[in-house]
Amino acid sequence: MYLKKIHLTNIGPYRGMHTIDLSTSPEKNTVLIGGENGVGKTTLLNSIKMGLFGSFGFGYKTENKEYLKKVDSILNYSAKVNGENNFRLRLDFDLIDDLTKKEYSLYRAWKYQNKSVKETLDVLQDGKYLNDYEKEVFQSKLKEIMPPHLLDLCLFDGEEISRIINNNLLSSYIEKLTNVLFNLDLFEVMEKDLDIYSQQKENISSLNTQEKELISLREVKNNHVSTISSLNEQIERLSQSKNEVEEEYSRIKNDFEIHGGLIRDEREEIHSSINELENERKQNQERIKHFVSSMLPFFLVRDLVTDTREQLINEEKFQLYSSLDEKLTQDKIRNILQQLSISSNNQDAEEILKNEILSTVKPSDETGLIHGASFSEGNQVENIYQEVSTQRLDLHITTIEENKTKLKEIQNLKSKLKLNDSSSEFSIMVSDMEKYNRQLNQLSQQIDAIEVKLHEEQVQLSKINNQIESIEHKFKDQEKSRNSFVESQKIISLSQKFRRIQLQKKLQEVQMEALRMLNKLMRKRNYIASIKIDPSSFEVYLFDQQNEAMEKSTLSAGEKEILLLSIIWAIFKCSGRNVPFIFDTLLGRLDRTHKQSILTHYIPNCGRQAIVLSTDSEIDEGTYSLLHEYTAKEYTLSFDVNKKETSILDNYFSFKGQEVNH
Amino acid sequence: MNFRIKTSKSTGESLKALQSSTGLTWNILSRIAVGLSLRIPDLPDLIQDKSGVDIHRNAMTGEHDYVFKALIRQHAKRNLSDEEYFPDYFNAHLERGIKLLENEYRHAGNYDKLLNNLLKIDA
Repeated sequence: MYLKKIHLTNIGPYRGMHTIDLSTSPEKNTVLIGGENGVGKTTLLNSIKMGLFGSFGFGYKTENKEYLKKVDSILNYSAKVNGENNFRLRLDFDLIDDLTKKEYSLYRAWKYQNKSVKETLDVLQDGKYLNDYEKEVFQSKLKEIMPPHLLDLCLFDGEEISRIINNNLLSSYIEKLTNVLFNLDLFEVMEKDLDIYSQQKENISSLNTQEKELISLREVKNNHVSTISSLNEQIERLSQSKNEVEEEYSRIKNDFEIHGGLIRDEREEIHSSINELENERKQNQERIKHFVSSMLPFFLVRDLVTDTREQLINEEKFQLYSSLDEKLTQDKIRNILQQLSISSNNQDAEEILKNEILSTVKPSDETGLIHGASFSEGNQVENIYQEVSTQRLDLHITTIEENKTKLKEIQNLKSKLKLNDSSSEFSIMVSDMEKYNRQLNQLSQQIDAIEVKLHEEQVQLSKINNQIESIEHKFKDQEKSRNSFVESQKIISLSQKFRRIQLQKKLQEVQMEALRMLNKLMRKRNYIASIKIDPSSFEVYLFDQQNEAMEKSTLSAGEKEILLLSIIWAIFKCSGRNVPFIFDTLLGRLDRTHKQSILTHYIPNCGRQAIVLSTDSEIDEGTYSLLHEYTAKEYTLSFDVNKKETSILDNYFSFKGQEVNH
Repeated sequence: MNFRIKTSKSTGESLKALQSSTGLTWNILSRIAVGLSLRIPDLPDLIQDKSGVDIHRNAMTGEHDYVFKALIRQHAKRNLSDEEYFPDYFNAHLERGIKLLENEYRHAGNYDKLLNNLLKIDA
């Protein structure tokens, strides 16, 4: 990573917008930033970190309250008071990814919304803004290439270094550094994770009780299975007999419907014909009754009726005769005779004519006058005579006969009906049907009950199956974990082996490079002949020309610092990482000679970019000129006490101007 | 004019008995009885006993009153006066006829047979 520019807007003491150009050239790799205590050097460093990583830079995984609180404390106070609500960091840098160099601009801005800070991030990659997804990808890539803790390691804080030295933390520092820089930390983390994983899964002690449980569960399962099968058999048997009963029932029902139906029809027919016959009989009886009440007496005396009629006719004739006799007076006869021109003197002729006329209507001699009936009275007798003389009698006789046979028929039908009613076949069928119905009901109830039981058993069985399954699953898991335990152990040991070898290899390089640098820097030339770093303990051993071990405690604090710097530098060099080195008040403790050698040998060799933050006492006019040769940019941070603002000046404590004046 | 007939005691009892066995009313039984009596050429004896049942002439002869009168006159072969015809001669025929009817019924045993016999009386 190569930092090009940093823009600060209302960050810390940097009120308004400030830009610091950090670009260097291969010959001049140093950016010198001067500033007295409290002008904002540390803020500048923090700004780089925050600008690059945001919350990750402070070890948080998200933009949580703690982080935003930190941000809040960093943002410029007076801008906050004025409500300018414009706080920004912009970092321009190059990143080499997949062997291609890409230019980035990172814009991180903060705004106050409802009294809380909101952060926004924009990323410009080769002049093109990234969308949200690409931003995510970029951030994870950045963390890969330039992890936040690596940036921490690039930071040579003088105070931190002296703390390491004073507290004898050298070996642990080297360990940390090598792990990160040689990417061995990844393996370490993996080993740890694998270990935790295998320990988590390692729970074999519970196996035995679970095995016992499994055995008992299997027993219970077998019991359930056998109960279920016996229940199933019962159901099978019951449904079979149910089917049989059903068949029997339906057969009888069918019979009943067919025959019973026929009988019913027949019964109805009989009933209706009985009714019909009885009606006819009633009508006949009415007729007979009428005949009996009116005509029967006259039938009994048919001859007398005939006599009476004849007598009446004769009496009629007699009346005609007598009235004609009355009407045929002598004068009338004579008149007739005269008209016929017959002599009227002839007495006999008159007598003959009259007798002859009367004889035409003369009744028989026996006729006496019995009735003297009127015309209507004669008619009545005539009617009766007509009735009696026609053959109506037969009609009545047949009617009576008919009624007799009808009565017999009715009696027959009625007896048939009676026979039917008392017939037992029907009632047997009905009672059979009832019996079968009862049986069916009973069987259905039994089957239902058994089915309920069966269902319960099945539920139990499925529960137990589940339990067994889960135990077996656990077994499998345990087996798997046992396997994976072995595997992970293998991997761990492999990884450890790899790490060891890699570390040894790297550390050998480091030892050589560190020794070279140390000899350049140390005033005591060839004082230390070789450096050994133990790969397991990271303890540093020094040897003199006679290859005898030297006590590190014989070294002065300054010498120890030089040793540390040499080792750090060597580790960075060996890692092949291209990172900016940032030196913050590094030289405070060193004497002039060591300062000089650091400035002339160490910093110029710190790769492409070294950012040196110093006070004017650390790098004074004399030492300034030593570094000047390698300085690409120089700034002075100057704090205005009245405005409480830092401004950035383009020279280093105006030494340059003085030098020009020389 | 007398429009009621009073039968003899025995005739009254016969009518009641026949009514209960044949289901025929007194007047109808009486008409049949008269019919049976008219079949016998001799004149019946007139009745003095009138302590039996009492029947109105309208109920007795109904619409065929004249025919009965004519038949009884014809049977008597003389022009009976109205009083002679009813109730005297009618009563006399009834008296004689009911006995015949009773005999017939006794002979037949039931109403249907009686009826049958009556209808086939000339056959």
